[in-house]
Amino acid sequence: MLLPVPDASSRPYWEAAARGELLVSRCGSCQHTEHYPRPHCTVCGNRAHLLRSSGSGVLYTWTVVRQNRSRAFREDVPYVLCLVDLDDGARGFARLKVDPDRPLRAGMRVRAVFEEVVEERDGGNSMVLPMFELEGAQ
Amino acid sequence: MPEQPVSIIGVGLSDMAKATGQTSLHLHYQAARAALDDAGVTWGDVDGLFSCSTGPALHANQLVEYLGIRPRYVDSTSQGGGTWELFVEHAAAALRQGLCRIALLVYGSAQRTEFGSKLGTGFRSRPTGPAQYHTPYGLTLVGAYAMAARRHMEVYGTTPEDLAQIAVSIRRNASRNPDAMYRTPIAVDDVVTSRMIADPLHLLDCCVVSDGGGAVVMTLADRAVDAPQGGVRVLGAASATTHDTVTQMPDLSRLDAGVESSRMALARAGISIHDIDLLQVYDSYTITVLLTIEALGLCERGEGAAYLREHPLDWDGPLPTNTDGGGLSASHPGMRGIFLLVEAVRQLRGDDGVAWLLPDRPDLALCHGTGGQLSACGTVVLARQEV
Repeated sequence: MLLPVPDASSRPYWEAAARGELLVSRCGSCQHTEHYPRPHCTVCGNRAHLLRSSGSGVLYTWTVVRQNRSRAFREDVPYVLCLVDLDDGARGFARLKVDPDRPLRAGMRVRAVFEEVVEERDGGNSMVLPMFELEGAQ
Repeated sequence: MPEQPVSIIGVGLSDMAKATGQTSLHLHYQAARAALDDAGVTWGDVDGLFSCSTGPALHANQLVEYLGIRPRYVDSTSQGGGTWELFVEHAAAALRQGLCRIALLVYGSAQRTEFGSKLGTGFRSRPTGPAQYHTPYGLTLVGAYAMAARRHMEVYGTTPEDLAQIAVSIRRNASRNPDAMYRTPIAVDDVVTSRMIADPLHLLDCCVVSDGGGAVVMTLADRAVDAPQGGVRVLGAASATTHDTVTQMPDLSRLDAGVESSRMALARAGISIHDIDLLQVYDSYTITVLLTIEALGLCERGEGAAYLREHPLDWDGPLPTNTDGGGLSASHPGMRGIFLLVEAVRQLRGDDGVAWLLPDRPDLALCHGTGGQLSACGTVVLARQEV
């Protein structure tokens, strides 16, 4: 994997992830909810605020990546990527921690989990990244 | 006052090969030279330049310098592979406004020579900006299109075999083109048993990785009468953009940008999609074609697979599509939009040098480019001059 580079907009998101919280943004005017969180609403352009998501939702779509020649990912394949319709209204994206050969269906219940990722190639730096897993996986 | 009509008066290709051994800039030169010769205009006549690349940020400046042209109007909008259809819209506006008289749209890439084959799964550096929310997890370009394909399958019951048939038909078209990278016919089974790259997209659901360059010369239609090949009329052109990364795509089972660009382009042309008798669509992946067929309104949303069973894309089918073999079999040098225009013009003109000319010369062509991660689309409607 690769570690993100936090910036002025994203730092609260990654700090929340380190606490085991998934953040989304919600518009103060129209209530539209968005992931990745932005300080404005993408529907009406008004100001939005950060909101802690329950992290629960349903599988929208996914792919099993079986080829990635980048040095950062070649040892990870195969891995599953997914988009999740969160119960809070936003659509989240992350790895789905699941056996890549397990049959999946859109609509399956998933929830956010948080994993510390250590990058040996990056001087052993680490960050906590949100992931998803199937509900009832443990 | 009605808009002044605009025409394409020249097209050209560079060396087309898996790996040309040339530089990207030289392929730009080759394509530009061929198109300008075709149009019967000189190097010094070019006063409008429309080009972008996946290379340097100041690509247009570099290209002006390398080619040695002195444009007074430059557009280097960069929205992925479909940008050349968008350039037709922009060039038409610039020509009508008198901002330039001879517009050169050009592209060239020696990506295969320079970088080899990576299938959109190559090196990524530590991500900044919005990429920090998806790149850490290993989102590849194929993976982005694969998630759209999976969503379409989940919602509409589309199958891997439905997508495979698209690759089979376009390969059959490529078999007629001696310049196509892959010409040996394939069957649905070959596609669905080829190596899985990003489930549900197999190796043969993905475009080839090649070198190549192409160019188009545009001018006002009243000047096209002097061109040696005459002109192909631009009846309508439009573009639309919805997002950058597929995670932000409004609905992964619908090409919203293509719905909008094709609706506007057809409206500007004053024709229906069902009037079109030649189709050139961006085929980065088989799913791109399926989503485009639905976006163009050839069938209802979700019915693309059923439509294609009745209307295969083969050159001798009801609507010949990607007659040169497309990106799936003929060539895909990083961005392919220019080649849709070149192929459509050659077929509409019935160029002698094209071995794979359709037996029935088409009257109306539609070129539809899709770039990024199903992010930005451009649609161009072209007509044979006599029409």
